[in-house]
Amino acid sequence: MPEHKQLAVSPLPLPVPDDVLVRRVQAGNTEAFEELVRRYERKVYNITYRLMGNEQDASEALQDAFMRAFRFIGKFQFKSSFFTWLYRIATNVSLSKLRKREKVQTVSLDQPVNEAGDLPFEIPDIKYGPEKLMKQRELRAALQKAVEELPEDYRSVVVLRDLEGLSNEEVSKVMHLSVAAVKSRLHRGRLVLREKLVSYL
Amino acid sequence: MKKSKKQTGECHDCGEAKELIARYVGGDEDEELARRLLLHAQTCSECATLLRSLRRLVHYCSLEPTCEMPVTVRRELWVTIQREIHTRRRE
Repeated sequence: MPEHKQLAVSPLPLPVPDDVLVRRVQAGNTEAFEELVRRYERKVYNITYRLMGNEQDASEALQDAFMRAFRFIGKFQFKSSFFTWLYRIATNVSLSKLRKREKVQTVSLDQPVNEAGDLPFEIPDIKYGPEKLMKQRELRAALQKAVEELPEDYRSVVVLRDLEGLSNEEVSKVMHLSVAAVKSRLHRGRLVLREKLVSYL
Repeated sequence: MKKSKKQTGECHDCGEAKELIARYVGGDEDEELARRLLLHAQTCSECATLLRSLRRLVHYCSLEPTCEMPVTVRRELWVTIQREIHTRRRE
């Protein structure tokens, strides 16, 4: 009869804390940096995608963010957590690219205004079945579009707080803003989103 | 809270209520704040609508799934990372 001891499952090893990995990278261990990339690549991609609005730009911002993190990690002084530092780099890289993109995309004053684009979508009030699924898809698309159209100051805060689920305090650290400023920008951003998404809410 | 409603049911002078809504939806868990706000919302259709729609907005955002990172995006990222690491090692 087998002993019960043989059935005991050894506990999984605890993940190495970010700070430890950062110190290893600072000491020259590049494998530790690869572990940090694996740990945060999806999160950072989400931020860059939400801010940039398309895969190609998000991909470029993602690469730039990690390259900068690698180049400057030697100067990281542990005054914040690694992820807030990394998110800040990703946010700044994305916003910088957005500014450049907006400069390139000049719009003629004579170009007719697409009125439909400024109006909320008309969605039938159907609660069940395939229509509900379709409505959810439309809502997601409308939400992403509305977020992309937010002014820059509001967009970063809404993405980090409402879509990525950071706390007000974490957003304040990422953005180098006071918590009060985060709350203010968040509320203003939400009001703009509400106007654009009114038919869904 | 000051009430100055018009016949239409709209609430044009409820600046305080709007401020409370911002704090409430923003995560301020002050019970007194919530009580005053909900009490006001019972008599003010505009503020009630604003409160309801903002709460739904935040809820929808919280349900938004994580974007899947495409394989090509991940591949390009790792090519860049490996190139950067290789450059560092040569220096």
